[in-house]
Amino acid sequence: MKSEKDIFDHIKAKKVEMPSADYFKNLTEAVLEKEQPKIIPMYKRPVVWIGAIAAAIVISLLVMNISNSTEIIEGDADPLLTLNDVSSDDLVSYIEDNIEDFDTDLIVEMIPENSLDEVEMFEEVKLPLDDIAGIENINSNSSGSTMEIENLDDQDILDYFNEEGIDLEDFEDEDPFI
Amino acid sequence: MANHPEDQEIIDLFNQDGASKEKAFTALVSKYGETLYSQIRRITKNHELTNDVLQNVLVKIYQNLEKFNQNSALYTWMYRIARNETLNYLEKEKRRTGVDMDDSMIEIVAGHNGLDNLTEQEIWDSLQAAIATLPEKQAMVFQLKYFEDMKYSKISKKLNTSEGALKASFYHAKQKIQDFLLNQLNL
Repeated sequence: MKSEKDIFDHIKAKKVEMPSADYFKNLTEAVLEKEQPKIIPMYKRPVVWIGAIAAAIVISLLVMNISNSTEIIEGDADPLLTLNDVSSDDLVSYIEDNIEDFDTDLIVEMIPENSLDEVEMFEEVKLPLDDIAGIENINSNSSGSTMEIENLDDQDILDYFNEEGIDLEDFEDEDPFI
Repeated sequence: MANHPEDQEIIDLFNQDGASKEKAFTALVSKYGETLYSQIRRITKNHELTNDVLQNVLVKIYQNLEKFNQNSALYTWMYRIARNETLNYLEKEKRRTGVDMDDSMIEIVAGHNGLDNLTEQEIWDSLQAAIATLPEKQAMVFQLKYFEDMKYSKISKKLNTSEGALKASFYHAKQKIQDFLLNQLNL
């Protein structure tokens, strides 16, 4: 027997209105899309864009800097930085005129190391055969200079003085014929 | 009626990677989507809210199905997720927009002296409060039998429980709810 207190006879559940089958299919796809690892194209990655912009800024700054440097060089016309415009003849002539101003170190620096062997530092002097024999004679005798002077007579010395324009009075008290 | 794969088959397929995972998830939504939708809709009473909640529920299921330890039936696990998600979502929505859920989910049959003096909304709120006091299994059986009018044989497969046990659960659930309503509504 049902009493009035059996309230489920008076409360009826309504059926829920169900969406179409497509709804569940689309919902599944939406969830799967949300959960799949996404492959982001390179051009959509913010890091790539930021990196590209930064690189562009750095490159443009470098280009501007180089451009400014070139202008300064052209303005100042520093001779050391424009050597390409100077001919070899000009350089040689400059060096000859200012050779005394160069110190040894600077000269060594300016000559390439591998070309040092090719540089003729001293010109070979061709001496007459008589002179060579005289030098050899001097070199073969350790006290040669004294001996040669002893072999000279007074006339030879006077002739030498005359050739060299030496005045005998310059010797005053000294005896030129020691 | 579609022939759905067994729960274990879906779980095994899901635990493989790639296309198998998607296939398993599609099968799962195809098998349980309508039941979950109905369960959520009875609480939200609104399609838009149901859609939002169901999407969140499915995302949680997708993210956690690999960790499902199978101590309970798959539907029991999903029911729990859906119920918690729905109540949390509704709480937030009510605070944010004061959403009015005025879709009626029940119909009052005239003739009951006590119920005739109450609005559908008052009766519905009390009914929901009563269901909330039930143990999870009883609540689930009550919803599937009373609201969805599902056959015991089908519920038995869904919950991996014998039909006898389901009948007992439904009986106890009805008794508790009736007592709660009579007490709550001073009938």
